[in-house]
This record gives sequence, structure tokens and C-alpha cells, in this order.
Amino acid sequence: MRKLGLTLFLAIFYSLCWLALWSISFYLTQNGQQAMLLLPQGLRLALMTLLSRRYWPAMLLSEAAIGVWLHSEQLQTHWIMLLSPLLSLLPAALVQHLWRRFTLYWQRLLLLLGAVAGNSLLQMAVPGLWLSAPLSQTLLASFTGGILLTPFIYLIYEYLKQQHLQNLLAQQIPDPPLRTSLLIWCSLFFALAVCLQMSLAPEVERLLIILVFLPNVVMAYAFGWQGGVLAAVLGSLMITVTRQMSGAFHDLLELELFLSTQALLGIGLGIAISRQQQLASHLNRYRLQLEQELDTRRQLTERLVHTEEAVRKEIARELHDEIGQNITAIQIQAMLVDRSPHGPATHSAAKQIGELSQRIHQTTRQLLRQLRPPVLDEMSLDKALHHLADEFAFPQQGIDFQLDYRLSELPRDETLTFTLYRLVQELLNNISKHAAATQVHISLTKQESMLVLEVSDNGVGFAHPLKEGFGLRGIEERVRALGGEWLLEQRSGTHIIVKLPTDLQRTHP
Amino acid sequence: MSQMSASLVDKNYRYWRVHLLLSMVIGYAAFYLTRKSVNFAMPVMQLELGLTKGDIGLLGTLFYLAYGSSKFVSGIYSDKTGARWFMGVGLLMTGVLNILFAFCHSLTALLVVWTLNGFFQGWGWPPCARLLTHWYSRNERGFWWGCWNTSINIGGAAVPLLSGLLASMWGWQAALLVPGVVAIVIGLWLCRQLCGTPEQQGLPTVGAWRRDPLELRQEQQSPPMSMTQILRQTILQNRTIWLLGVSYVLVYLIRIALNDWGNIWLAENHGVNLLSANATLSLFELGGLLGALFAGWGSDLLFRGQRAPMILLFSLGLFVTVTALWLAPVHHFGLLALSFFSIGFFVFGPQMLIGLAATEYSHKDAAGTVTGFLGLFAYLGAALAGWPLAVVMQHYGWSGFFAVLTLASACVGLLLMPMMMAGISKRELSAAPPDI
Repeated sequence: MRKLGLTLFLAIFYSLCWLALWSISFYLTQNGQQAMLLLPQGLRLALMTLLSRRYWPAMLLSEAAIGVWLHSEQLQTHWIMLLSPLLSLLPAALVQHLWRRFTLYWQRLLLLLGAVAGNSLLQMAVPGLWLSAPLSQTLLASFTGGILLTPFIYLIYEYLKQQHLQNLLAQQIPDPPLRTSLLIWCSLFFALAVCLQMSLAPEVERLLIILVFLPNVVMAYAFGWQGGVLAAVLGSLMITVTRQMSGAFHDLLELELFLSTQALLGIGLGIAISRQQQLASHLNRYRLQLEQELDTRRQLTERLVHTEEAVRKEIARELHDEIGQNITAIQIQAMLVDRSPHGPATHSAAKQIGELSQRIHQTTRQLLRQLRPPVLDEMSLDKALHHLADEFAFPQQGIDFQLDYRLSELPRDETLTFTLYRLVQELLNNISKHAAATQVHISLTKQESMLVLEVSDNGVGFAHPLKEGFGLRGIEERVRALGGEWLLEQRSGTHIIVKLPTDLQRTHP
Repeated sequence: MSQMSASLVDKNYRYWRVHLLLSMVIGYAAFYLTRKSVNFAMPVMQLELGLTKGDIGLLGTLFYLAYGSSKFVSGIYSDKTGARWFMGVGLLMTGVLNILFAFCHSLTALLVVWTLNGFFQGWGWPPCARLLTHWYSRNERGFWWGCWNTSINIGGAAVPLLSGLLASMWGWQAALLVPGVVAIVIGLWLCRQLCGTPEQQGLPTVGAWRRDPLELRQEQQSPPMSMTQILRQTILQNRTIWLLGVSYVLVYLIRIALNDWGNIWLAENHGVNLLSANATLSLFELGGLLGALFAGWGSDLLFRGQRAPMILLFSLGLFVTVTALWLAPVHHFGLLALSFFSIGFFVFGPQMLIGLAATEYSHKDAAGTVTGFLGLFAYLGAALAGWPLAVVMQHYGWSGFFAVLTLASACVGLLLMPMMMAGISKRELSAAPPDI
């Protein structure tokens, strides 16, 4: 019952629209056969493609009935025209077959354009050969009708479908097929163009091309395929109005050519723009994703640095408090054993205990220094750095060493202090081992919210910076993780600039 | 209110829905009988009573004025009281006035009686709208409303036949007396047939009975309010209603223009004789009957009770067919008749759906009021189809006439777009009571 009703509704709706479109086409072409090939083609092709196949018989039947009636009324004179709807089945079936594979609007639109082209070729081949009109005329007529109406009907169809879905799901769907601004601009352009047409047309015939093409380009640029399709339909309406008013385009071929060119321009441009928009949106999505991932990575490393520092501190404290004290106790005990009057074996054992514990003591101290330079717990960064430089004994090696410390206050963050200290330690280590430099200059300054450490020497530099400075790379990563910058120049010596933000908390709220 | 079992509710609902629809169709067709009766008796009356064209024009204008305003006022009254006798009494009074009219001989008396008739004519529409919104739910109302709408076309087609027959057999008085008597009888019958809302019959609301989510939502958004509040908040400040109203003006402009000028155009421009021209106009009505039925039923089925998409489809068809009629190149009668049929099909669809949509976009208790409010727009459109269109024709000829109609039909579709785009959220904002 429902299906029967729907089919009946479709049949009536289709036949009435078909007849109306035929009348308009007849007005344009003054020929019954050509009129059947013009606008009704677009309607038929669009509906055949968009609607389910079970409605095809109804459409074919109603069109056949109209064809017979028109023939009996002598409004069209060729029986071969009755074949025309059957021919459209082929492109429609083909497009329906491919329809599901392409999901984007502009891809489907492109498919429809292909169907229009195929359909017009078929129409030219079969009824065209038996008609008196030239073949090119037949081809152009069915192509024009198709390209004007098929995309438009597709637009309306998508619009209604989207409306329906939106009401069903009660939510906004992105990229709606029609927008208010689009309609307003289209109407505005149309009204403007008609007004200009009416005032200028007889004098400046050629202006028409600009008047029609310009809106097409603008609408397609601003609104993508939707704008292109709508502008194409409005443009063709305008051309028809012009023909009505000022009598341009007396030649049918010229009119059809003009109509289809402007429609193709608008739709093609619209498709291209839509495609670009889609690509750009993809790109943007990936960019955002990448940025997010980089950010996460940086945060992770930063947390790693902090954790590492905390663990080091913890271990160092344990070592210092527990092991250190116990070893001291062992040493004292060994001393006591040594002084007591027992045989020589006892003496040598006690001596061994003492030596062993001495060695452990030293190893632990060294370990402690590596884990967490104890100087920083004992003195300020300034003094610790001087102390560090003294350890390298540069003057004894004949190296001119300068340390330029210009920080007014100490960095509050411990991680930062330790990083700076290790940085200097590692760099000086490298210099004294490999650089063979005679001048070393270190400066530590503050620029706005950044600490700037510059280390330069006049040595040979790194032969293979990447392989050589494996420790450097670890430090470089730390610097970057803390939100700092790392710059290495090798020009007449090595010049390294490191910038670190003073307020570490600010980088990871 | 006594609690009913589910099966009893079902039974009651089924009975009342069919019963009410039949009563309303018969009742409203009877209203048409007493409304148009004078048109066909007028040529003879004019001779017998010596009336001028100006007098007849005055009669028509006063009638439409009274009718339009009465629709609005009685809509408010009917919604407020919900009286079940309202439609029946209105019909009874129009019958009485028709009989009185037949015995009037002075112009003043004729004017007074006929204006009063216009006033009581307005009592037919609002109760129908009220019943249609309360007894049928959102996802099926299109179909029922479409069925009810056929009574307009039935009335429109039956009246000329009956009046012509009566006037030719027993003179013009009979053409008024017989409809009058018929109206009185049907009016008395109608008083007993109609009932109030389902709640007044002790039934659950139709949304609850049908489990229709859209209907239930409208019921939720229609809490009890005072009439002035409803009028202000859900009608006068409702953007959608105004949009619908403006497109209603355009639809009525097209409908009345083709109804009133169509046969003249056919005769003048295409050399069709008057009989065939009038037959073509009845094709217009036939197309309208089909169009209204399909539009209502289609909007239920295809768009789940959304009216705007269907109106859009029909207005596209309307645009194409009006253009086709304008450009119809050959003096081919069959083609012209088909064009008229098409326009009838495409114009009555929106005409019905706009009225229907308006009741659904406003407060549920204001169905009569909002249709009355739209009636004001409708008669503005009808008025535009009269004198202003004649002026256009004087200056630009028939092509100007059709250019205006084509433009109007294009604007119907364009106007409805914002309404569809407003979507659900906006509608809820405008329909929900802002008492928070």
C-alpha cells in the first residue's frame, strides 16, 4: 500500500514536472524532439540515478505514456524518441553501481557529470541518427539539459536528505549542502545581473559573458560545489531571461553551447574548490595531530629528566647516609682490631679490611659525585663552577680559561642548576680531551626569562660531531626537553650556545 | 476521568477519528455551499434587483473583510472555550442568513446579511484545525489533513454544479434557499457529531496513544498558558509563523490569480471558448485535490511529519509549471489543460501544508488561532491577486502577469529555506515557554 502510493506519487510528480520542462524546452527549441532531449533528460537522469531501482518501471511507463500522447497530438513526430528513456537506464545503472564506492559530494557529482556525458552520447547515437536535426545539435541538447538539471536535483536531494537526517537525529551535521548565506548571495547576484542586463543589454552584448561567468567563479570559490551548481542554474535562468528580453542568442546551438559552458565552468570550479578544501582540511588535521604528538613527547622527556634527577638525589642520599656511615664504622673497627695485641695474622686481616673499606669509601664518593655533584649541595653554582674549572687545571696545560658568571640570582629550580653544571662539566671534559684548544671562554648570562650559557674555544672541534658527542646529544635532548634551545657552531673553534628557560614550571602547567 | 483499558482506548480512538473526519469534511463542504451560493445567482439577481457592478464589488469586499477577521477572532474564541457546538452553530447561522438573503430586497439589507454571513463563515475553519491537531498525531496528520482538505475541492466543484442546476430550474432564490436549508440540517447534525479534545473524552493525548515522539514533544512544549500569552509568544513573536505567513501570501496570490484570471487568459490569449475554459478550471481543482492528498501523505511518509521539505519540493514543481504555462508556446488546448492541472497539483500542496505546518510550529492549544492568523495573510494574497495584478497587466500585459507569478513561485521556495535551516534548536527556542 505504501509502496504503491509512493510509486503513484512519483509517477504523477515526475510526469507533471517532465511535461512542464518539456514545455519550457519547446519554447527554447521550437522542436518537439529536441525539447524531449533538452531539460527532461536532466530530470530523468537525476531521478533514475538517485532513486531506487524499483521506481524505474513507474518512471519509464509514465514517460512512455507522455511520449505516446505527445505523438498522438502531433507535438512530436518520431516514434524513435520513445527509446530515449530506455537509453538513460544504462548510465544510470552504471552510476548506481559505482555510487557506494564514492562517498564525497564532489566525487558523486563527478560521477553524475560522467553519466550526463555518457547519456548524451547514447542519445546522439540512437535517436539522433534518425532525427532530421544535425547530430551535434542532439548531443548538445541532451548534454545541456543534463548538466543544468542533474547536479541541481542532486543538490536538492542531498539537502532534503540531510534535513531529514538532522531532524531524525536532532543534531547539526557538518558541511550542510545549502547555507543561508549561499542562497542570499545567489539571489543577490541574480537580481543584480538581471538589473544590469535590462539596463545595458542592447548596447553591450558581450558584457553578458562577464555577468554570467563572474558570479559562477565567485560562488564556486566561496561555497564549493554547492555554489557552483546553484550559480550554474541561476546563470542559465538569467541567460534565458535575457533571451526573452533583448533577443540575444537567436541561434539555438549558440544558446545551448553558452548554457552548458557556463554550467560546466561553475560546476567544475566548484568541484575543484571542494576537493582543495577537503585536502586542506585533511592536511590541517594531520598537522594538529602531529603537533599534539610532539608536545606529548616533549612533556614526557621533561618529566623523565625531572624524575631522573629525583632518583639520583634519592640514591645519593641513601649512599651518603647509610653506606658512608657504615663504612666509616667498619674502618674504625678495623683500626681497633689493628691496635689490639694479637698475632700477625690478625694484623694483616685488619689491614686488609681497612684497605678494602678505604677503596669502597672512595668508590662510593666517586659514585656520589657522578650521581649528584656534591659541590652543589655545599656551595653556590658560581663557586661550584669555579671549583670545577680548577679541577681541570687548565693553566697547568697552558690553556687560557675565562669564566664569566653574570647571574644576579640563583636559579630556583634544582634540575636547572644540575643541568647547567653537568653541561659545563661535559663540555669542559670534551674540550680538555679532544679540542686541543688554547683558549676557552665560558659565560653565563640572563636574557629576559632565559639563561644563556655560551661555551667557546679555538680548538679543532669535533671531527664527527654526532659520533663524538654522544654525551652531548644526551644533554642536547635534556635541554630541549626543558624547553631550551641548543646551538652548535664550528667555525674557527667550537661555539656552543645553550638557552634554558628560568621558570621551568611555566612550560608544563 | 475514569481509567480506561487499552483496548477500549483503541476502540474509542478509531471510532472518533473516522467519525470526526467524515463530519468535518461534510460540514466544511456545506460551508462552501453557503459561501459561494451567491456568486452563481448574482447575474440574475443583478437584473432583478437592479444592482450595479460597484454594489457587487462592495458586497464581495465586505464579505471577505468580515470573513478574514472573523476567522482570526473566532479562532481565538474557539481555542479558548473549546466549545463543540461552535462549528455546527456557525453552519446553522450561515444557512439561516442564506435564506434571509433570498428574501432581502434593499441593498443595505443585502450588505448587512451578507457581511454577517461572512462573519459566521469564519466559524468553520478554526474548530476543524483544532480537532485535526488534537485527534491526529504528527506523523500521520498530513494524510488526515489532506483528506479533510479535499472537502474544499469537493465544495468548490459541487457548488457551481448545484447552483447552476437550481438556478436554472427554480430561479435564483432556490440557489440560495436550498443550500440554506441543507446547511441548517447539516449544522444541527454537526452539533451532535463533533466532540472536544481527546482529554475531554477521557482519553490519553494522541501523542501518548500513538507513541509519536514528535507529537509528544509538541505536547511538552505546550503547557497551559493564557490566551494572550500564547498569542504573543508562540504566534506574534514566532519567526517561523511569519515566514509561513509570507509564503502563504504568495501561494494564495498564485492560486487566486489563476482561479480568477485563468479563464480570461485562456479565452483572450488562446482563443478557448468559455465552457472549455471553465472546464479547465475544474481540472485545476482536481489537480488540487490530488496535490493536497499527496502532499500531506507524502510528508508523513517521506519526511516523518516534516512539512517544510515537502513544501520545498512542491514549490520547485510550482516554479517549473508556472514558467511552463507562461511559455506554453502552442495554442494546444490539451497541453494548457494539463498545465492547469499541474499548477493545481503543485499549488494546493503548499497551501494545505503551510496551514498544517503553522499549527505544528505553534502552541498546541492555539491551532484555531494560528490558522486564523494565517487567514489574514491568505486574504492579503487574495487581495493582491485582484486590483494590483490588474494594474500590472494594464502596464505589461500577460507576460507581466506571468512574470509576477513566476517570481512569486520562486520566492515561496526561497522563503522556506531559512525555516528549514533554522533546524530544531531554533524551533525549540521559539516554541518553548520562556518562563525560566
